[in-house]
Amino acid sequence: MQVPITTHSQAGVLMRGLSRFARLWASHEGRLVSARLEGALGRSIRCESTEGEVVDLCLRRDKLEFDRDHSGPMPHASIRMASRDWSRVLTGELHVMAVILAGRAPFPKDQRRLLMQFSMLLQTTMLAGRAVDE
Amino acid sequence: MSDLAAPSAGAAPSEVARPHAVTEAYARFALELRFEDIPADVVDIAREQILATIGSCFAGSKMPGAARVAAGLRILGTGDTSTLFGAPGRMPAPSAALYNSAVAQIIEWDDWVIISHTGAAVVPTAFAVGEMVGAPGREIIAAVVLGNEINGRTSRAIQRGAYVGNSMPNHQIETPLIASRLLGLGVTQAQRAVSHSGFLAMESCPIGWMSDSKVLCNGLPAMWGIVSASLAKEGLIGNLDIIEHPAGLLSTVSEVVDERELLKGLGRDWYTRTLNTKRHPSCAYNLSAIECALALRAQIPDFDPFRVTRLVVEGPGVMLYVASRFQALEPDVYEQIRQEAITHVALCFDAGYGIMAALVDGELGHRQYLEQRIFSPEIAHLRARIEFRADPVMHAAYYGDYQYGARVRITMSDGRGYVEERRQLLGARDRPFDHAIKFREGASGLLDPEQIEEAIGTLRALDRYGDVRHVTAVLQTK
Repeated sequence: MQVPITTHSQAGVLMRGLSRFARLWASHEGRLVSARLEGALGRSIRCESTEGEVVDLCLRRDKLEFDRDHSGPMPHASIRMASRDWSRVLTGELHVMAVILAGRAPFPKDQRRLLMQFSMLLQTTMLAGRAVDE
Repeated sequence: MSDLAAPSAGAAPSEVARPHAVTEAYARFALELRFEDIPADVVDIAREQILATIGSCFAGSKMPGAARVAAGLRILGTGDTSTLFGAPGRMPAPSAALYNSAVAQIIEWDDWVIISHTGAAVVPTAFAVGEMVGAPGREIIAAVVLGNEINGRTSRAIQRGAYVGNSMPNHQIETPLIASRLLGLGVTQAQRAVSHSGFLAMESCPIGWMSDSKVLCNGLPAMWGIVSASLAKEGLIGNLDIIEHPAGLLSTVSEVVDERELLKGLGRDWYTRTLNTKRHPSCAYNLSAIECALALRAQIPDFDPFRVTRLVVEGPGVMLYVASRFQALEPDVYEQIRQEAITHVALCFDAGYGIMAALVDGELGHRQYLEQRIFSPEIAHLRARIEFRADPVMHAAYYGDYQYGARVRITMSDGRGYVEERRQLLGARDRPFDHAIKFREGASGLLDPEQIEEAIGTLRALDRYGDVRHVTAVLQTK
């Protein structure tokens, strides 16, 4: 499957927000990870907006890696929602699962564990990040 | 009684093939545990758990959904064996177990060991079957303890899977074992009871946590566990290794199964000691923040919710995760409750709502989950002013040692700021409270004040009664 490649110069809502997530995630140096949540580590996740922006990433304990060329194998999970939902997710106001529970993003059974764990780590980081920012 | 069991080491082919015969070990534990072998402090905890759970049932019986559950269950037949806590009349044991489990949870006022809710499953199951057979009080306590012990271990085994807390689909294991003990099954029959109970693996749909459907989370396993034990007692053959088999129950419901957790310390390390109960009805992750709100309400002079200009809630990430679970709905959660598309149950998981209602009323009980409060102008005012932040230290404390911390900051219109913080929820294993308070709140209006005090005394002396029906006699709602 061909996917549009998002570069920094084209960065939209998704890439900008996820870049901030990457910075905040790294600043916590793995302290937000627990045994119950570490299933989200080392898995490739495709974040996609219904408007066409696509970002592939992989969460490591102390950093977040982007696959800017989308060159990796099929991602372990995909999160696809509208940019307006991404905007709220990437501030921490909502988490990915909230959008799923609202029926606006898919929730395949084979991806549910990763989606739930990533969802919690993403929101926690963004909300903890707000405190750091301030 | 035809019972294939009683295999000793090497006697049964399944034992040779499968070194960890978990289903058999659980069956033996459930049937062979003696009341005398349970440490006194564990018995004390179980007695208090029973008191707290029945208090929750009474409170939940005041919700609109409770009468609907009772009415709907009549299709399963009538009978006078088992008490409905908080409603008049009795029902057959499976129906009573479902009703009592449902009302124990309908405002999310139940308890948990380790990370899995137990009381709302094990107490209704033990009482419903115990009443049916006239079991002694100490048998009820032993049944509750064994339920806790098994539930805690199965939850540990699947904690790295997708499910957390009350959504853990493990109750189909402990409920048939409780029923098997009280119905007098043999070991193999009890193993088969677990097979019947677990075959249709009851995973909950996440969106059901917005409606009264959610009360079936423990309710269905409680009911079906009893039926499964009855089926096995009558000879219906089931698998003997449904728990641990690679294609069995736990592997069906969880992406990860840590088998070593299943038998760790069974009969030696008492997980009942990890019991956490709730002082107020709401998801556990919200309770410390709610306690902060109640304290703030008490300390702010002439508190007026309309004078709140900012309300900031800080806590572990998991609290914020639960708190915002239903915040993306369109139309929003309040409008959907108004339309009866969902119910107050969604608000039981909404930390913001619990905090706001506690601030408005200075209490959080069943009344705060009724429409009059949900749609009040005070709540509407506060909703626009609440925000959440993650506290990394509290986040780490939760995952490191199950510390449910929270901090709430309020700014009033005169510019004054107030803050309250709790590092652990009231009702946690290391921060207990008097469960008689909870029972009184739950039973208030349903039992006479004298009857309430008699019930508390009777439940706290449960192990001294030779027939649990003498105990439930004082819990009858007129």
